[in-house]
Amino acid sequence: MSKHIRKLYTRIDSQIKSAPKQSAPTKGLVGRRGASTDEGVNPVIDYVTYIRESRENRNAST
Amino acid sequence: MPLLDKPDLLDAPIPGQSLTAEPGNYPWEQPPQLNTVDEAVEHYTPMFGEEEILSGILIHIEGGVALTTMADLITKGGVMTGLHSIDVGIMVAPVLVELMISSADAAGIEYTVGTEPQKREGSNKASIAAALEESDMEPTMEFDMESEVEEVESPAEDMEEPAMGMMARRSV
Repeated sequence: MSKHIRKLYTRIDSQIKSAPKQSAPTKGLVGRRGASTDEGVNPVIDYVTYIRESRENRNAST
Repeated sequence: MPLLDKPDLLDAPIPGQSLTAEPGNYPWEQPPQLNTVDEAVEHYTPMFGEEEILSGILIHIEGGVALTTMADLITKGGVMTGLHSIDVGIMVAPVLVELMISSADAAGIEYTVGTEPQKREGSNKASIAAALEESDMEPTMEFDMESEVEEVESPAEDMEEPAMGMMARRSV
């Protein structure tokens, strides 16, 4: 499971750095009950982007 | 590792033993309580505001545990207690990693994410020799090319094997 997490984190990280407004493929993961596998990891990218922005803002203010 | 060297075979589970238990006995066999990534994030985010939990996490991060490994442990715990499915656990893990990065940054702790390319410390032969020295074992994997060649060549010089079996042609 750790390997899958590392892969997903790397994919999301590169996705945010290259094209932050696009979704990344889930590669078969289902983020919501009954959802299709093509739905993407939009909520995860949104969360990660939000946390990074808030961290950068905090670092900039200090 | 004496336990791994000599496992107690009589205590080991019989193949298929898990299938004999009643389905639904374990929490992870029940429907998960949190069905979406959003719900899982809502569940895990307040954890980083609690001092006791956060200090435990930061101690492990300071000790050199990779953040992806920490996220793996946290989400596995969630799966084991029946909170969410494995898929939701994997998908919420990057959010947990980011939260841990923020916490470690705020505390001024150095961290490793776990996606960095690993540096190889020394060659494999050197590490094997060091491990053997530690365990007081003699290396038995020495490979002598010449003796191997001799062993291969010698059977060709042997005499013909006599034909065996009921259908073999008999020499009179």
